[in-house]
Amino acid sequence: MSTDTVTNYEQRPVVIPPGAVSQRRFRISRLATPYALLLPAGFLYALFIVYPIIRQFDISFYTWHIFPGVPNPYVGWSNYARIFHDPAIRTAAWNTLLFLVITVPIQMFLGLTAAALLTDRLPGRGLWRALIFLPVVTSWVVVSYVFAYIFAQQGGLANAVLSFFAGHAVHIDWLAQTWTGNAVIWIVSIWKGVGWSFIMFLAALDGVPRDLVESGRVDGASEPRIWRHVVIPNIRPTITFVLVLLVIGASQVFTQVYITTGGGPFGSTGVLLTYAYQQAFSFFDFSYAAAIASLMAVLVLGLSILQIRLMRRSDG
Amino acid sequence: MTSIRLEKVSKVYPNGFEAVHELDLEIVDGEFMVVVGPSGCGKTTVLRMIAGLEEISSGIIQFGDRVMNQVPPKNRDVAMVFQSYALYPQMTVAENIGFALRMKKVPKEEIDKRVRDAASVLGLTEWLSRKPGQLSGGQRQRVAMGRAIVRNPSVFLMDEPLSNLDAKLRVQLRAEIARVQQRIGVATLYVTHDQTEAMTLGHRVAVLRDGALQQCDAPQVLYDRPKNIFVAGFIGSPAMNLLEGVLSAELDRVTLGSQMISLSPSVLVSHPGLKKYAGRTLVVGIRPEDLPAADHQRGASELKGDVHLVEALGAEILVHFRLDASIVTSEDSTRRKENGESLVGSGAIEAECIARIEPRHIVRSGDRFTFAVTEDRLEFFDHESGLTIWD
Repeated sequence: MSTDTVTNYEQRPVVIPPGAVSQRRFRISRLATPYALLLPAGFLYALFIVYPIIRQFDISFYTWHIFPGVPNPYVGWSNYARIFHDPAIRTAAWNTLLFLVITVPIQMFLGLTAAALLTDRLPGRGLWRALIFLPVVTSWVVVSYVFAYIFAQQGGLANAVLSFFAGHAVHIDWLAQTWTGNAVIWIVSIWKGVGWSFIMFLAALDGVPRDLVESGRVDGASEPRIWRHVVIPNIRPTITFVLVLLVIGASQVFTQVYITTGGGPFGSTGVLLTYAYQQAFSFFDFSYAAAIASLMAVLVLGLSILQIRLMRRSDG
Repeated sequence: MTSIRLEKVSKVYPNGFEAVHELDLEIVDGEFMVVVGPSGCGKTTVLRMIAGLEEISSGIIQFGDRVMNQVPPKNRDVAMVFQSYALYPQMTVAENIGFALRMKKVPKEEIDKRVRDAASVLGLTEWLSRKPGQLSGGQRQRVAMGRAIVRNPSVFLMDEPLSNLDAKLRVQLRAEIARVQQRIGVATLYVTHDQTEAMTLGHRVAVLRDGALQQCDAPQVLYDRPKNIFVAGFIGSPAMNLLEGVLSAELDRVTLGSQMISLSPSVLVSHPGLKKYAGRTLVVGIRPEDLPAADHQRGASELKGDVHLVEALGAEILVHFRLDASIVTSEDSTRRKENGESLVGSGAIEAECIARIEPRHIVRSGDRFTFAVTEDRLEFFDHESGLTIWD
């Protein structure tokens, strides 16, 4: 068909030049390519994420032994029933909840405040941005050990500073007392985590159209009202995102607790994951640990869905 | 009721760029002033300085008798329509329109009433509970207007409010803007790069270039008596043909390349300043509509050109043709001036010109066509300064 004779372009048939692959084969290869490219990542994801999750749920219904050849009897929901009658887990759950309620809002508030201050023309804001984000890229283990040193009873920096100001030797055993131990865990978590919400909010604030803010100013809104009516509604998706991820992260708090206080004294600073870890690797009660972890997974998932729904509804 | 006065207002950015240079402008109460100019001429900066969104580097901005230099935007009682409309996406149309009133703590019943009134004026009543994302471009533009008029502001500012709309809607909303401005009757500053908007809307039009005011006059005055070559070239579409010419020592003709236009004594009467240019080079400006097809009357001046493009628009024909005269461009004048060059740049020896002729004529590309010259309508400019030669 010569192009000169074609007048109605919409009705022009697709012409497959001779020698080209058939349309069917072409379609198959076009669909197959992305899947082929996803395969390696998908394989790793299935092996290291999906399989352990399924296996964890599976184990939670047995009295499971790590040694091969030992029978693993099916016990149904009894591991889950144990959770609700275990007094020790209540402290861990309470500490986890407390950790979440304290660290998440503070991280969000500090992150947003720092982002708000550093979007404007503050001198040296690049340096500030880097400094605030630096803890995020350092290792949890390293940071936890550094804080464990700072708050150590003997030779710790905190006690040294207090001794200097007090004029006499101070020997507070920060990590061996419930409230000070918890406070150290919160401080290290906020210090290390705030940079992440800061970066998220910084990007979100950069995305707020300047016209909207200026329109608010011209409309007679004061700065707090511009934040309330213009900026916050505009960054609401980021707020939801940061909140959900921080809640998930806080529910899974482990490393800093394990390294600084180890959950002690007597489990009083322990959280759900350190408790589950202890059940699995100190008492070799893998099934009970799996039940705790599974219940947490379900709770966190439910909580996240609820949060997203609520935020979406308020967006209207 | 307020007038706006700008006195020697300049804006210099920290990098040294001067966006606005010693601008003097007065917009009287109720006046619709349009600021027009090419991109980057500083027109939006002027508007933002009046709104208080941009600090001024020097000079005075007054609303009535009150100096506004240090007054923050929220206390200026200014309503502004942004190019992007800047509607609050999470608020309904009604909430958007009533936002400024809420900020002023106007009672709720009063807000509702005023929002409904504004909505009915702009035909938005049935959209009041919608959100901006659910509206068309034209409706969003109306909401932005509604947000401004509901406040009864003392100053009304508009920053290219129609530039995001299609041509048809633009014409429709242009008329609506004129109507709304008339209704609220406050000093209005409207920024645009579209000269049709400038000519149709403005009581007066200020032409800005490189941050400096070129001329501020009623639209027809700008068109008929441009103060300089830039205004002459900027106002009018298609633009005025600007050609380098030599005035004869006897002041009775102008030579354009190899052709000659005779000048009647009436031209000298209307342009007495031409006497100083006897035997000198100057710039001759001819509007496209002043080059009709020649009817070969005796004594009439004519210009012959080689037609290379014909645009038949129905009501008229635009004929693009070449003359062997030097074309004059008024671009980059600032740079030229800084470099000590002539303000007026002479271009190629073969000038590209446009004529607007009646549709009954048959013109084809490649023709050598003869145009009559309406000599009373010629404009003359100084070759060095680019200023119009009148007195």
